[in-house]
Amino acid sequence: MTKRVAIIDDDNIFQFTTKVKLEKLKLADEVLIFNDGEEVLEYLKNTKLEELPDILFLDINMPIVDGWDFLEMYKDIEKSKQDRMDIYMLSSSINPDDVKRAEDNIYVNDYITKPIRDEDLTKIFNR
Amino acid sequence: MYSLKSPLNNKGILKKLQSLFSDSSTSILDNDYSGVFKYRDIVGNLSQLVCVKDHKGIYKMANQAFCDLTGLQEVDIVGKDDLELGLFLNPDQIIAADLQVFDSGQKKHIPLEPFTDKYGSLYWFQTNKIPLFDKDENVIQILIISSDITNKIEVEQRLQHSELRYKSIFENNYSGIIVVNSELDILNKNNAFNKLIRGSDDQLGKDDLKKYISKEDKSDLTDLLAGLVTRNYEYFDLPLQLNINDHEVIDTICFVRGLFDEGGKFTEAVVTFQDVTDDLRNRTALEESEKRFRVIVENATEALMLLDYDSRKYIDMNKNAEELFGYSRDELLELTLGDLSPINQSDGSNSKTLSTDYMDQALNGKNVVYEWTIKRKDNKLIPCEVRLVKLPYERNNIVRTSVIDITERKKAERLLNLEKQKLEETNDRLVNLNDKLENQTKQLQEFAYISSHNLRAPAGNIRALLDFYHNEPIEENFKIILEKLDVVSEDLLDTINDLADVVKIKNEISQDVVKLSIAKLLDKVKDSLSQQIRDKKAKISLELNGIKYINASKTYMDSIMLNLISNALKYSKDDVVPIIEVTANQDETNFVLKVADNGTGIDLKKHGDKVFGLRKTFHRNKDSRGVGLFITKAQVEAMDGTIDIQSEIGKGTMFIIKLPKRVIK
Repeated sequence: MTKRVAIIDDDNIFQFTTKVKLEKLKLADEVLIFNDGEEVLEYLKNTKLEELPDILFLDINMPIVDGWDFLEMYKDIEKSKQDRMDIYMLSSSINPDDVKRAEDNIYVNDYITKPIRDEDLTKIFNR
Repeated sequence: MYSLKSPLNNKGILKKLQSLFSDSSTSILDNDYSGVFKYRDIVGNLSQLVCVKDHKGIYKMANQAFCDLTGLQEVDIVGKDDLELGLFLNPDQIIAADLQVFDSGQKKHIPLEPFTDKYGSLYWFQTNKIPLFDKDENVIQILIISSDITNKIEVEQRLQHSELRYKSIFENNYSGIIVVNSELDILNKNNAFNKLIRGSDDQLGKDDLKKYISKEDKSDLTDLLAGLVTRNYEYFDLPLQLNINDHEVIDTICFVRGLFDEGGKFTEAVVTFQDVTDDLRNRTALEESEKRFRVIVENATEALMLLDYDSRKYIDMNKNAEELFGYSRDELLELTLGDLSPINQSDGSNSKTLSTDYMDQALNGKNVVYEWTIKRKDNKLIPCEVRLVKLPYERNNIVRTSVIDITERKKAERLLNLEKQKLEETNDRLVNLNDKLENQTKQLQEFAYISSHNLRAPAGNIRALLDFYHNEPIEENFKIILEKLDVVSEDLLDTINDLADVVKIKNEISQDVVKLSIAKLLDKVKDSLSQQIRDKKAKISLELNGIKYINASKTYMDSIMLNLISNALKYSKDDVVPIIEVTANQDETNFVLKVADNGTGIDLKKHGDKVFGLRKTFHRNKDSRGVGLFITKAQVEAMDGTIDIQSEIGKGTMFIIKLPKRVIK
């Protein structure tokens, strides 16, 4: 089964290294890169259900539309599309407020602190 | 002159007259009146009416008094009878009475006999009809002697009437009345007196006044009575204490009137008693109460005054009032309500209006208490507490005004307030400090998280890049990794520098406040940013509004100005000449510095709470690292100031900085 992963992060290095890692571990067939929430929301709205990513890696700190803003706007995405996608928050923040907030959000599957380890990635894809 | 005691005096003369007529009966019978006429002058001058009639009722003689009364001459009378003369209304009765005397030969006394003269006036007579005998003891004539007792009858009637009246007055009088002689024996007393001495009804008879009075009173009374007896005066009054029994004393005022006989001799005295025991007791109680009241009033700690509201005048006051107001009692009595207050009270309200209001409340029965500034005679103003109470007089509106000088209290209150204020200020400062500390703690914690985040990201990236190299250590990758590492290390350095800037602010809690020229500050910033300004052809204006200088930390102000101006340049619209306006202003407590641009603006609805956050950028702009505004806010707050933002997408942004005015030490 083809896995499509979207990385939503403004950090170019993170985008690069994560993409390389996912390909190396053969966890994803396709890795999509978005620099902030606004870009990905546009994409999700305009993409057919079957072409949508299966997993979203969502950073918190981004310009324009950050992770939290994205989650607010994600509510407006069609239910069928939401059901298709799993959202993982990936952030360097160890602020307990952020962790708590992520846990309380119904759209977020898990909160993972950067740097992300191979085991964490494998776990996500084996669920 | 009519005499009360003996209305028919000259009895001696009458006797003589009768015997005279009797003795000369023979000669009378013989019509020889010589014996009679011997006494004609005597008879003629008698005040009694004298006449002689024979058995046929024919008048034989009449004296002058008879003629005077009837208005006839003697010659008109003699030889006629009563029917002919028509002198009496009831001649038949008179004739009958005459005949009785003729028949019986007995003298007849008619005590009351009416006679009406020709004018219709009624007279009363007392008449004696005396038979005159001849030598054979036959009655041949009668001698009629009448006394005019009209006056006597009237007086008697009047007396009888008057006595009844006086008796009634005496008996029924509410005042005790007694009649005493010069020895103070009570000859008569009325019911009221009996009641006064708690006597029973059967004790109305004689008594002795001496029983009831003290020695001193007795001697006074006796002395005064002596004056009555000698008729030095006819009445007097004196206070007299009546001792009713062992424990009861009645205070009286008695009025003593002397009675004198016609000879002016003292007979007895009428004594009228007025019981003043209750009056005296009440008066004494009243005097005592008044005295007590005076003592209370004079020793009261407050100034007390009585105000007659109708006349607006003070009618009484104590010593304290004189001292408090600095006026003498006489001066105070001349003053009216408004004279003791300044025109306005300390809160600016009109004294007259306000005091009238308070007075009205008092007159409606309320106890009114209020603070009031008074004006002394020397124009000194004194804060006082005033209490008003309407006194329970029905007819007058008297208000008791009690005034206490509360200067000391006010002073204490002020001190207390000052202390309280100080404490509150200290407390506020503590709360403020606590808030600040809490805030700082929070900021520090946040800063720690942010630092951790910002350092973790590049560190993670380095790790990830190295992992990538280890996994595939080929030359191609090596080149890519080096390039990326270059970016990361740059990024890391920037982050570390930013963090260092922030830490620096946090450390420099006490900054040196100096006088800074706003124009110079801006010039310096323009120098630093000259390249960008030139590139963008930006126009920067300064409006000082008279505020040339600002007292603040130079380091911070340099940084703040640089950040705001560079921000404005950074987010300018590509196709529009950037116009940046710096405006200085002030309100009461703050300097207000505004930096406005015509740039792209920020959607504050979306990002309002994050504008001043660390690493928050809202633009996909290469230069934006999201640290400038965080530092600016930290610096403004370190100077106890505030920073706000107003922005509209497509129109521009304005930052407003308020810094408290400081005095340079």
